[in-house]
Amino acid sequence: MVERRWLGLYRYRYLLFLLAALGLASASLQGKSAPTDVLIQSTNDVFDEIAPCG
Amino acid sequence: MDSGDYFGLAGEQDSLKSAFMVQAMDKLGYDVATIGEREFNFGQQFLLDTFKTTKIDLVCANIVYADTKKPFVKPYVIRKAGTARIAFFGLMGSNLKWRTLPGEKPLEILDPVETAKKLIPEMRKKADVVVLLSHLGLTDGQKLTLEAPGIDAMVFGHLVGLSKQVVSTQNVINVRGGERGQYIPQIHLVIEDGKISSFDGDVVTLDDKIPADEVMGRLVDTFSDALNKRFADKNAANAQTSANATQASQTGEHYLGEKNCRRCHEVEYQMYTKQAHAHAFATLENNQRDATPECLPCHVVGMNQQGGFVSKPSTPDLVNVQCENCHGMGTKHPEQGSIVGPDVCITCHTHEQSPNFNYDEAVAKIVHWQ
Repeated sequence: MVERRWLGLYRYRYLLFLLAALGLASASLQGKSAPTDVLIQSTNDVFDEIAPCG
Repeated sequence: MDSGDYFGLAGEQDSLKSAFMVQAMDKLGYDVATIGEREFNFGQQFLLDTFKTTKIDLVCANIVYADTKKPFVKPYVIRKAGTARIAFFGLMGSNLKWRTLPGEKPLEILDPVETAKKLIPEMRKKADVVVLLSHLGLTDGQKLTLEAPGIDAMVFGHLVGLSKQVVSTQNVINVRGGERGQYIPQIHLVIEDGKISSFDGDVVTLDDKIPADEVMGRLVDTFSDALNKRFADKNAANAQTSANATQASQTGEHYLGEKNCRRCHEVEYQMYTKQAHAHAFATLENNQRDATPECLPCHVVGMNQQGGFVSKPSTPDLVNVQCENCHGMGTKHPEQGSIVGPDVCITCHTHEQSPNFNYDEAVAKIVHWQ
């Protein structure tokens, strides 16, 4: 029984693949992508930071 | 990122420290750095070689070889963050002067505004966001945002002061992170569909509330200890030459040491010996900094002066902060007064070395008169 259900799904594999591809293509065509977070950390004039004379 | 001035001024110690600084930046994960005028203090090749062994991209768009007009380093670099492409470029202030060593090819600084105007369209074709690491100073940096549109974010560098807020001026998100590496400005961008949809950020103060990185702390200590040993070994190797030079220098005006002062100022001397100045050299010895050139001048008498401290083996009477540090050279004694004001103290108790220095409180600790 279990084996049969798997076989059933397997039969529709092309349809599933097609649906997934369409979904991706649609998002791409609309130019939408997940937001990207970028953190820019910077320093200035760091040379004098290391001056431990005790 | 770094917006420049990570090299020291001159001398062997500063050059070693500068190279170490870049190695440390690499280990801390810096991605991109631009060039400040100080970065030429040890020569063009030294600068290039120092970065060669790192993963840091060195960028500057307006420093070119004077003859060929070819860029000295990469004008810009594009880094990917997720799906976003970010172009980082650097600019140097056209009014800044730097050292050119004999035999070096002359370099030229192109006008930063014109350079940016030419470069920005090219970068925009390849990247979603354009970020400037500026070494233009405050006024020229602000001018650039008005005259060269197309920059998304900018980190001000070179004597720009501190502004603890990340703001947007003329559509350029910008921040000024103070000096001496004491702050880390952070710009947080959210990029959607190739555009910045929102931003925020802050400036982190690297004070005692931020715990020191243990690995980096050990690295700095190891470097500083090795540096001190290097100079100590040099002093030992040159001991005879130094002794001869010391003897020769003491034929003219020179420092005499506290023992000479004591002959007439016994009361003052006894009070002085119980105070911190009289043990200033031990502070360096305990921290293995007793041969480190940048530390010595404020812990000995007359360092780098005719007839002053050379090294402990050759001038043992001139260690510690003594009478002559504040009152002047002993052989000139009759010409000088003995009243000392804050202008003398601040030659060593600088804002950097003694940030909490208070003259009245400090004087109370060194009373040696009745």
